[in-house]
Amino acid sequence: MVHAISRKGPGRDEGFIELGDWVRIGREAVLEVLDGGYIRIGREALIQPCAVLLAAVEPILIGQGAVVGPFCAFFPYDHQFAPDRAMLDQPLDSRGPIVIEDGARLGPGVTVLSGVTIGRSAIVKAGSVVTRDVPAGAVVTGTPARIEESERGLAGAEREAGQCERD
Amino acid sequence: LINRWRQFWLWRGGYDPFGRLASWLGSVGAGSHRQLHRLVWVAPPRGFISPSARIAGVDLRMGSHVFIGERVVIAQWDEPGASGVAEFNQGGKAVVELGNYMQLNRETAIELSGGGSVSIGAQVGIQMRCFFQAAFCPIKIGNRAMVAPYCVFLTGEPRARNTEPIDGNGWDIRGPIVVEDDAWLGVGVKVLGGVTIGEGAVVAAGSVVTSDIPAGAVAAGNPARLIRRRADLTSDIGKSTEDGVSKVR
Repeated sequence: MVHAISRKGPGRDEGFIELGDWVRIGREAVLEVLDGGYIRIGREALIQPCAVLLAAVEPILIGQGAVVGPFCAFFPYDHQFAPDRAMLDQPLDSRGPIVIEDGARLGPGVTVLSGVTIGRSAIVKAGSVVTRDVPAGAVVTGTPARIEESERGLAGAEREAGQCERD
Repeated sequence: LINRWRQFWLWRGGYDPFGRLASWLGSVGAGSHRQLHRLVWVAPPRGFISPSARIAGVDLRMGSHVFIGERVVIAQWDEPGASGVAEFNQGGKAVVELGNYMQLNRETAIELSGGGSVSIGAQVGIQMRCFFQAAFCPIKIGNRAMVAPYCVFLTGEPRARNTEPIDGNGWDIRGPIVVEDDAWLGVGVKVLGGVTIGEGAVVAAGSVVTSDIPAGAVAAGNPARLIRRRADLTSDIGKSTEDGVSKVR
């Protein structure tokens, strides 16, 4: 079941959800657009079951052939937490859009926060929380996600080249 | 006319079979997910309980304007072999208290056993797919707290200390969980038993909270550690600027 809901934000255009050809979205996935965000999913991308894509404030952009694992959560917005106000009155805020580039693969239960770009053919291992940009071809893991020690020095370009061949 | 119709049925809504039918009749065509939130204003002070919510075997005490979303499960679950059931279970139904204006969003599960209880304050937003396991101990969430999607609250775990099979070996109970007023838990925070999260504390996404977090703290990581205090931030630094949240992360 896909829930696609858009709500017009104050002074903003209505959000939209754009799915490319052959996009597959698993059951119980939630695609939600509000407060000026939008979602664009590229050709042949795969969103596995129970993923949550909640595009508020900023957009979520997913490239061609990207794989988003089950229970992934994409939140391109934050609450501010300045000390002089109660949490409930804090405005929404964002560091920027979430961009998943072509051919990136995210394992199960990955959380992606605002302003993060996951590079071409990068791999994010299960359960990671991605708070910073992931370079193309990198393998990252953990909370917050960091490049795996064992993968450091492995030619990201090589992996990327392999991906290109398959394309 | 449609408002009259909704008002008529939602006034009679509830979680027994008739109430669910009434909720269904009252919410036909109202959309789904977040669009349902406005139904709490149709027949005040009654809130809205989605007809697909499953609420069984609990003593549910609701305030006004309570929203219970689609496929929420609130159930009492007593394992017959669990040690200490007789000691803790005071014979009654488990108590679930939901404060005024609180929202329990879709697919959240509240599972109670052995006399555990859950009490959630006023104006709390529990976002989708959270899980509360109140085994033998209470879980208490203060007023105006914010709980993001995929948060998990576990008061105990199956005993795994000796070499016996874990299944049927009883439970280790860590203790009650208290989240005080105005706290904010980010996406996918796991809170273990015996922990108090202080007033106005912020817990970053993906953290695992295993020990107390003081009031006004910003905590992150697995296990969650104090990163800084909100009071040390000047008012513009809580914003996502280069020297703000990015530094906190």
